[in-house]
Amino acid sequence: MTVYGIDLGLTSGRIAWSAVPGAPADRALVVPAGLAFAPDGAVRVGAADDQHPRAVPGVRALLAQGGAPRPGSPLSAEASVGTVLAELTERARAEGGGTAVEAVLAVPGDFDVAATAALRRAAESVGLTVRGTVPAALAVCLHYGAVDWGVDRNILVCDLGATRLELTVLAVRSLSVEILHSAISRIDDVEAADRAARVAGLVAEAARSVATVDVEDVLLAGAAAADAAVSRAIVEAIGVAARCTEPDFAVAKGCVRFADFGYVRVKDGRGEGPERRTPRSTVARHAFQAASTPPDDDPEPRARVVDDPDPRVRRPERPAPAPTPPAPAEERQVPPVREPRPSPSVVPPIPAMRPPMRSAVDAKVQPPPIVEGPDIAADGPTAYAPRPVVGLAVIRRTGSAVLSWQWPPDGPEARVHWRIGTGSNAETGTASVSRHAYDNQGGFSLEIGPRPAEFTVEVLVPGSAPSAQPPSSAVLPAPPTAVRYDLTLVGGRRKRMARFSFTGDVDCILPDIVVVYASGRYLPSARHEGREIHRVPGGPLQRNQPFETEFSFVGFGPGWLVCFPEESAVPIALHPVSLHRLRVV
Amino acid sequence: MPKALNPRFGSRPLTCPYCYERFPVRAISFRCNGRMSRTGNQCALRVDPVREARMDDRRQLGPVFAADGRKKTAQCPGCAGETRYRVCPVCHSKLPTDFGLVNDLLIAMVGSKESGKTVYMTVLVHEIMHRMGAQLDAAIMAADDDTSSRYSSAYEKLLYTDRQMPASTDSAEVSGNRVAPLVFRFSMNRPRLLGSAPMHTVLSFFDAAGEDLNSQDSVDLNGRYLGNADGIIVLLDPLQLSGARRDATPGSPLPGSGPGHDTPENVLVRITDLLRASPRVSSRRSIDTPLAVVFPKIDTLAHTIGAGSPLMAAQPGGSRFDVGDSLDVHVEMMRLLKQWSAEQIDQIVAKNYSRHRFFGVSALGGNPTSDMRAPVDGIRPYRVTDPFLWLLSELGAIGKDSSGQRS
Repeated sequence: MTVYGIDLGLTSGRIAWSAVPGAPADRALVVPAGLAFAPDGAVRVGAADDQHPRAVPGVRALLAQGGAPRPGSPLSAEASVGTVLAELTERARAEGGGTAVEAVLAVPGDFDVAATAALRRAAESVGLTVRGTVPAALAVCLHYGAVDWGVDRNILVCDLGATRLELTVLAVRSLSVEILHSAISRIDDVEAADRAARVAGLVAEAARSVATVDVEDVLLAGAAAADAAVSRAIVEAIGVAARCTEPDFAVAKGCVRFADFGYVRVKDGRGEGPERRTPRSTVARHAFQAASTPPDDDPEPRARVVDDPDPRVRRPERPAPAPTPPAPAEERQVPPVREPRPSPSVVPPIPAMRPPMRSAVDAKVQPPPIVEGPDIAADGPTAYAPRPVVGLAVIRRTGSAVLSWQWPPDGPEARVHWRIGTGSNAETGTASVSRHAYDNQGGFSLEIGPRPAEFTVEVLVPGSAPSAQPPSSAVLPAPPTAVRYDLTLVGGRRKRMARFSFTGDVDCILPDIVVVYASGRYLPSARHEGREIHRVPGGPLQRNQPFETEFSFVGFGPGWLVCFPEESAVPIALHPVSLHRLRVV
Repeated sequence: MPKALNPRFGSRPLTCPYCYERFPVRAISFRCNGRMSRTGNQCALRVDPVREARMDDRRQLGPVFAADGRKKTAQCPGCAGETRYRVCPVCHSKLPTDFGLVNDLLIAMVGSKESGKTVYMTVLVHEIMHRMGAQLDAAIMAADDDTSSRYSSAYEKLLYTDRQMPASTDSAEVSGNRVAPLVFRFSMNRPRLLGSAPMHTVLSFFDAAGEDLNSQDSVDLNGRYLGNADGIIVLLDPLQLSGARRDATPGSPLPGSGPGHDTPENVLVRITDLLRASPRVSSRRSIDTPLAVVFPKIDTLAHTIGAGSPLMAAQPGGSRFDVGDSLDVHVEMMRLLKQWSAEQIDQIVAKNYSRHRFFGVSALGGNPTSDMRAPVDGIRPYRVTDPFLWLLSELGAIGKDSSGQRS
């Protein structure tokens, strides 16, 4: 099903989608993100320069500033945003976007949980089903393919709009992304000629602000980032090349990528400064979670961008959530200050997560369920947080991968994520593994066939503080090209023929094969343990197309017929289909 | 009217799954249940001197009396009450339900000292209960309360819950030659001409101490158990073979090799001599008792085994015994024996046993810790059920899948 990726900017709204469901976004369009009013009072989505006293130059600012409607406007903030979103989707449908109703929304850096929830509600009010929300900086990373298995990079996302610059430093560790730093700066007070230098200066400042890591990649987003001068200035400032590919739609297209991306874990690693209003430590996200509609008061937990020098985007201070333990469920239902609850479309904050208890290993591709753990704590619910595991090991047994790891004494459940294969044909999945099932099954097994696979494992342990470490990961490389051979003896004692068939898992070049006869009870391990009686010339071997050869086999006593490959440029693994079938009597 | 036992069992001597003594079915005795009978009489409970002497059991029990063992119930001559407690006429152990009506397979497990017999048996039963049961559509359950409590507390809980490695098994000499096998009831459906029918098998696992195989005198203490077993699992620790010992993964705990330890070859020779001394074995013929020669701890040698080896492949599934896979493992183990310069083991087995098979298994899947605890990354058994399945297939308790076998 086609999913829209929506980026609600300060002055423009952008939407992207793919003509082929599941493929990267290849269609996109932009509309002004403001509201204008016709002389008769009719509301229309229009340019921000409308001089009508009730015109809204940018609807996003309404949410960022606390959700209050513009004075005199007949529309609430959510309704205003909804009007723009409706215009976006209608135009997308008119442009061939089908009848999609699902969307992934980008969350700007200056949105707090309430603003995110309001954005979600606005989308749902115009008939969209929100599959998920994603921080805009992460969406940019996804657009550039910077979040992937095995990636270990520190990335600076530079989102350059018409009026301001959003800089975010992220540490990408496989599928775990930590936001290290974020800042928003005005740039509309700078002359156009000096803008590139100003951007470069701010980028260098942001790179220096994260003293513990070196920025290794710079990703550009935003319409203004297409200016080549910006890229050059950044290179000169910090010595790192900036990648710039479709920057104006980077966020929207990253949202589309997020829809089918699978599991990615986001951690807010920014320090707890005094200006933090909604401190949140960790948010685990999963793109598969969005089937059900969240309740109206169900905002997305998200850290608010705090390093905001622009007073226009500030909003009145709200009391931060009390850091005390959560109140009983009955009390939380009617809190004095409306606290956001985790949305079903997102794995809830880790401190509130309880381990999903299952009877056995469930290897279906599905989101980690949020289920009460019945036996975890007799005296009340216990919070569980993920931790990387120690001693993660994976071995290949025929077509299966067998994983093992060390369980902490108090860890009742682990989560395993995997990617099998490479490229666009890769399969991803996740499973919850109870310790009981692990013990009874002798580890965790997964059918992977003759493909490479990558795994991450984290175990849930009691506690509310999420780990600063990414999940443990292990890689199982693809096995070498294998050719299997089988022996059939044809005929009687007087005239016997030995028929060998060779079958490859993939198309390959079969090297010259030496057939060795070894007498006695024991299977030979090497060529010198027998004598060469036949040679099979090499040649191309097509996948699953057996190549057969036979030769006369008379006058030999009980023993073994075994094939050994000659040395070749591309070595292959030559294995018998069955050892005991190589016995000749 | 008491139901009579199946006549086909009437002529075949039975073997007690607890003391491994043989007796005809009609010799099965009964024990009074000690409750008040319909006539108002009640037998006094007292310590059974036979149980006390043979099993060190000092519980207050009803009296044992002889009756027609081919029947499921008998009337106590003391109180005239009806009892269903059928007991072994030799050791007075309460026999499993339907004993004599169903197959009874006695599987003895012997092996060199420190070869891991107790761990293997614990993991084997656990695997049958939790993994193989679903694969074979079979169930295994303790046949008596003693087995149930002993297996749960002294075996399974110790290893799987407490993560402790079991201590050395007491030798027959230390325990006064009183050995208490673990007795299970193995149930599965076997296909018949029309549909399928449940089939029950009584399994008796006898875990002999390694010390009991270090001299001919001590082997004789277990002679009755081995001689009357329907199948024998012999565990020979490859790390006690000098050719394999040097190849073990660094850090693997190596078994002792000094006094009190004997080579696997010598252990095998003593077992063979004992079986040959049994009156059931002709001196001019091979021993017909199926012998599964199991090499445990194969994980410590995995790095020396090629990627295409059947010992690196996944354990076959399916509800029947995979003959082809088992033969492949057999061939591979023979090759390894040659590599380890231990062909003598193969020669001893081949010359003395008409039905034998080599197996490579790993009960734990990794090394125990230095303080004798289970591996830190869990118990990950590999191919531990292969020998058991082979024995069951050889004894006709489960079917064979010969599709992978050379015809």
